[in-house]
Amino acid sequence: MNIDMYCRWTLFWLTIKKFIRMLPAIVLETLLFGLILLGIGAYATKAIYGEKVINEIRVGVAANDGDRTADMLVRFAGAMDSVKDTVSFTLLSSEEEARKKLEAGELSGAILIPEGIVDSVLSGDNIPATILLDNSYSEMETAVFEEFTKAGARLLGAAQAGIYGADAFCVEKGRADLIQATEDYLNASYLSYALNRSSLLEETQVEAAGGLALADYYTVALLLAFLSFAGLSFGKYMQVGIGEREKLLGSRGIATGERYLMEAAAFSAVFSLLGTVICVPACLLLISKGDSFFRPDGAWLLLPALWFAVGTFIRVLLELTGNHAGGIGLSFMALMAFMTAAGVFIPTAFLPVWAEKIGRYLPYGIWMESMGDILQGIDPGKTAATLLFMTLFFLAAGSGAAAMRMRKVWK
Amino acid sequence: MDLEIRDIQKRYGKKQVLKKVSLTAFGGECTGIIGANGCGKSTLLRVLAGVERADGGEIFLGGKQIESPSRQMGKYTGYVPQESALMPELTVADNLKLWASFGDYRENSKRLDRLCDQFEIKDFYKERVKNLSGGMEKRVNIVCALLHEPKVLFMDEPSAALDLVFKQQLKAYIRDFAGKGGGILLSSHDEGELALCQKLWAIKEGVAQKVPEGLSIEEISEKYIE
Repeated sequence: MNIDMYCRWTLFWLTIKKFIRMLPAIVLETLLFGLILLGIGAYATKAIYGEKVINEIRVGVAANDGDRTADMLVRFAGAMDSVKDTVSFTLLSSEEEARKKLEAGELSGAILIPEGIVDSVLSGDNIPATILLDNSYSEMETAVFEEFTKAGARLLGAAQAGIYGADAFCVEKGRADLIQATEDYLNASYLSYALNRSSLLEETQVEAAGGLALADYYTVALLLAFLSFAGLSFGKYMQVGIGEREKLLGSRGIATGERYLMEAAAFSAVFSLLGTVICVPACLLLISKGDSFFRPDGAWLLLPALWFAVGTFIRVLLELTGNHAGGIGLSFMALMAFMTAAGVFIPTAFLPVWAEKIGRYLPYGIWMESMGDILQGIDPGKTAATLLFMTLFFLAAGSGAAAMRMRKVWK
Repeated sequence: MDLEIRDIQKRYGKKQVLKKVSLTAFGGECTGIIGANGCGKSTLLRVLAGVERADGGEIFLGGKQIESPSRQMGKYTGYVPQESALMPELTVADNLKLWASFGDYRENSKRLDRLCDQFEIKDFYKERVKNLSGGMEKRVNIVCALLHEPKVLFMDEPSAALDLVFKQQLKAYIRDFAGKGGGILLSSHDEGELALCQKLWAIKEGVAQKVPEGLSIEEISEKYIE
């Protein structure tokens, strides 16, 4: 081995040795982080989703042709067994009132019954009802009550003609006093016998766990969270910033960017080992319990690559925030934000739509998906390419940041 | 190997620490740098060792101008810093292995054995650096600086934290090094160390002045330090 390579190899190997020596202390510190994580996770679940779980979905109904149509729908839909325990319908005077209540957060959605809807049904024109939704709700809730309100609007369109026909019959026979009783009876009959309600609900599957069993999902999430915080614990043993040793290494020919790459690679290699050693038995244990979508597969050989990529990200985060107490705290907060947006603590389907859209492109969103794919043996080629790209990107970014910092010092 | 510096300047932010420092340290001699705290002694040594970049000036080593001290000085010079450059989580043996890997590592490894005996480091060879006392750590730093057989040695308060026995050993080494033709530039507040120096330069108000021979410590303090 030539002289230049030998000193670099020695530095790399000794850096690995340094991180391996620190492992026992780091695992203990991570347990502490884990407890903080559980506390924050429990609070975040309640804060983000909290009582919304037990609240009804409130839908307003407004009709431009007077209260009768809307009133009919409210009583109609309110009688549906499949709806009445989950959705409450409120009669509104106008579209304007509906929009105001939506903006104020008093309603989850609103159905606007257009003028002449009954006649349009009878003539076959089928003017559609307008459904207004509150976009601040999560994707899951939006999908659920969108289906309910669509179903309600269709029921109205289809059944309204029959009910109006019965009303007209009562009037013609001089029994206008029976209109209310007739309408109530027809509501119940129609709903019970006339329609297969399930045909009104589109088959839209709303999944929270992205195709995985819930236990699988939370195992992946827990492993990512726990091990990422373990990675942060390595922070104080890293060379972040320009110290005496780094400058001396520079005077001996090892540039800052190069030194960063060696340290980042050494740390990521140790982190990869730690991640794989913890991850594999955890997943095998999960598989042994049954009901898991995971299965042992050759794709599991990519697990070290995944943890290596996570290691490079943690290293660049520390390079940007610093490895003093404040910097590690900042990295902790950044990790929490990244992980929350990616669905590590709560499935993204329960987050606001904008958060879910951003989260899937963030590192942890990609790793959640990648790990799920690896553990199911799905598309290893694509996963390998993604992980390689991410690793190279984070190594380059960190090396650049370190070199820029040195350039400022050397100015 | 002679060392000559001309008009070295160094600024930290708005503070001009070194204005125009010029001096010569000849091979075979021990040259001392004195001055009040914060006058720039350590800064000058760091610039010469290639650990800091000067804002201006020239450095000549063995008659040749050094264009890029940060890259070139490390080959020919050894630097004993005030602040330790060792990895605290690793053992003394591992740290020495790292610094021995620069240059001809086979020759360095042979030299390492001899130096470890000379500075009695083998007693704590397997200890982690973070468990060492200040004096022990200093000895290891000195050995790291000497591993690649430098021609010029920069030492920043080398005997600080050393006990009396090792202070004497260090002095013996400095005499020996200079006797073999090596040049030494050291900054010190220690009378015993300064007594080894053939020449003294004082840094005051960012400029270096040669201290005439024959002055007493009190006279030197009054004129160049206070």
